[in-house]
Formats: sequence, structure tokens, C-alpha cells
Amino acid sequence: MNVAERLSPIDLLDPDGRAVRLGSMWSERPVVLVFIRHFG
Amino acid sequence: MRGDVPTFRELGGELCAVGSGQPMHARDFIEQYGLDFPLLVDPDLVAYAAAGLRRGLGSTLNPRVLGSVWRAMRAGHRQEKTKGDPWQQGGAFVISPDNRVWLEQVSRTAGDHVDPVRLVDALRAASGHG
Repeated sequence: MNVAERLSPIDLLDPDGRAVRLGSMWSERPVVLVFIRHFG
Repeated sequence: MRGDVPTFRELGGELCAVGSGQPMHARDFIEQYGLDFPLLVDPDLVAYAAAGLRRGLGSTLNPRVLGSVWRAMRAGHRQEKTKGDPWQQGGAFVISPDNRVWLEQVSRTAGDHVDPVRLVDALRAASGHG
């Protein structure tokens, strides 16, 4: 299982607190997925 | 990297950022920087762990990082209060709809950022423009 397959089913939160399936970010187009260290 | 968003979109892709912390931190971040791409938060660092990203004191505080901090402070930059996990390192990936990974970069230390040119090249390949 590669990193995309591990990440795809994970639910994260959008800025309004709604759950978003991470894999939906690249289900229709390629994505540059960046993990930032922290905000601010 | 924000400046590369138009290029990413020209290539048929999108930028998505994930941060540690809470949704309110993401809202503040979007407002502060006027972001127009998806920004998600991972309060429990589940995705960070699944991505194999580093976390800990050693990767956050080391001579190389402290040198960068010193140069930034001399240039007048100040670190504001951290919102999120201060020990968590970042990373970057380029992924296509078939779950193929075209680029995988795990930051070794704070300040170890991926070259945007590499992101563009990987996205071009992922979009079939390569």
C-alpha cells in the first residue's frame, strides 16, 4: 500500500469543521498535497 | 508555494494544504493570507503519521535550523505564537486520481522545503503533460 492509498480513506476537517475525505482531493484531478508544519 | 497555484491549475491540478491544529486556525490562516485553495486540518495528526512525516525535538531544533532562525531574526522576522503542533515536520506529495505518487518529500528538519520546480515537474507528469 503506497502513501496515497494510506491517506485516501482518512477524514480531515475543513475550516468550518466539516469532515472531508482526504482522497476526494485527488479523485478527479492530480493534486499537490502539502503538509505544513503549523499555522503561524 | 502560493504563487505556484496558477501554474498548478494550468497543468490541470490543484494545491491542497493540510495543517495541524484546529479548524479555527485554518480560518485565520485563510483570512490572513487570502488563500483560495483547499486547506484541511488534522488535529490528531492521523494523516501526518500515515504519510510517514517526522515529528520530534531532534528534527525541529538542530544547528542547521537554529542558523536559519538566527538569519530570519536578523532580517527582522519574528515567529508568532505557534498554532498547531510545534514538533511536527511537513512534507509534500503529488498524487494522481489512480493513487499513483509522482513525488514524495518528507521534510528532514524545519526549513527543509521541497523545490517548487520539482512539484511542477511532477504535476506535469501526473497530468499527462510530461
